[in-house]
Amino acid sequence: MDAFEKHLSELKFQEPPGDLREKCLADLRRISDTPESQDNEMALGFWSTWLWPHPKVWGGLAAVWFVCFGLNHWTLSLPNYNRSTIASTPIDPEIQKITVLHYSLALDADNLDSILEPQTPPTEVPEDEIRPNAFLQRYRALECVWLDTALDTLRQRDCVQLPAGTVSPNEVVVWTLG
Amino acid sequence: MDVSQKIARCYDTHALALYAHALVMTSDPADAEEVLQTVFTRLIRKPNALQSARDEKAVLMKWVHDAAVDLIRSNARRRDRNETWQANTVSPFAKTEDPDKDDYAKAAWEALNQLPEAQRSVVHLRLWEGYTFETIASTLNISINTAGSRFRYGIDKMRERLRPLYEELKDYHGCL
Repeated sequence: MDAFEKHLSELKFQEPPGDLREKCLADLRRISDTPESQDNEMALGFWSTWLWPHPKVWGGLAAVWFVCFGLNHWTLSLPNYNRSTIASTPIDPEIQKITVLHYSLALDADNLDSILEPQTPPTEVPEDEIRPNAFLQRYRALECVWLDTALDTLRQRDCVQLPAGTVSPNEVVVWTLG
Repeated sequence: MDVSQKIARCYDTHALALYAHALVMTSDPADAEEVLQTVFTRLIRKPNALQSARDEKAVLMKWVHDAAVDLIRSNARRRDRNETWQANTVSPFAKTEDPDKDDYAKAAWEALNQLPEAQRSVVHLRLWEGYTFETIASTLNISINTAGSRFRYGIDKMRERLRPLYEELKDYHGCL
C-alpha cells in the first residue's frame, strides 16, 4: 500500500443513521414474538436463498418436468397402445403365411430386377422408362402366383365367399385380414 | 446468548462497515439503509447461517454486496421505465475539523463514485476494510486475478483524478 492508498484508507466513513438499528432489528422482535411464523419464514428464506440466482429458470424447469411427467403418465395409462399388448395379440397362422408370401414375392421381384440388370436393352431407350416397366411386369407375374396361392388358402378355410370374376390382390388381403 | 442478542451484537459490531459498503455501492443513503435492512431481515430469517461461517463479517459483506447489486438493477429498471429517480450523492465520509481534508474527502468520494460498481466495491473492500484479494474474490464471487486487476484499474483512475489535490495537500501539510 503506497502513500496515496494509505491516505485514502484513513478517510473515515460516517456512522449509519441512529434509527437504522431500530429498523433493522424490528423484524427480530416481531418474529421472536411469534415462533410459528419464524419457522415458516425460515423455510421460505431457505427456498428463496436456494432459488435466488435464477428463480424464473428454476420455475420453468419445474414446469417442463411436470409436463413430461404428465405426458409419461398419460401415455402409460392408454389401454391398447403399448408394445406388450400388440405383441401378445394372437395372429392367425394362415394370415401369417399369406402375408409372408406376399412380401417375399415382392422381394423376389426386386431381386430379379437386379439380377436381370445386365440384360437390359441398349442405351437408346432412357433407363428410367425401362426399369419400372420391367419391374412391374415381373412383379405382376409373381403376384399372380401369390394370388392363386392365397385364393386356394381362403377356399380351403371355407370361411370367405369369394365373388366371381377378377379378384385384385388388395381385396384378397382385405378378406384375409377381415 | 440467545438468537436475538447474537443478531443485535452482529449489528453493533459490523453495521458501520456494512453500511459503508452499501453506501459505496448504491451511492445513496436511502438505498444503503434498504440494503442493510434486507441483510438483517435475511439474517433474522436464517439466524444459523453464520454459525458455520469462518468470518461472519465476510459473509454479511457478501450479503450486502448481493442485495446492493439487486437494488442497483432494480433502480436501473425503474430508470428504464422513465420513473423519476435521482441518486443522492452525498459524501459518505465523516466530517473532520480540517476543511482541507473535508474537501479531499469530497473529491475522493466523487472519484470513487465515478468508478464502475465492480471496481468501486473492490477498492472499498481493499482500502477501507483491509481485505486480501483472496477474501475479496470469495466475497464477490470473482477470481483473485480479477479482483487484483479491478483494484489496480480503479485505484489508478482515482490516483489520476485526485493527483492535483493530493499533491497540493502534501505540499501544504508536508507529510500527510
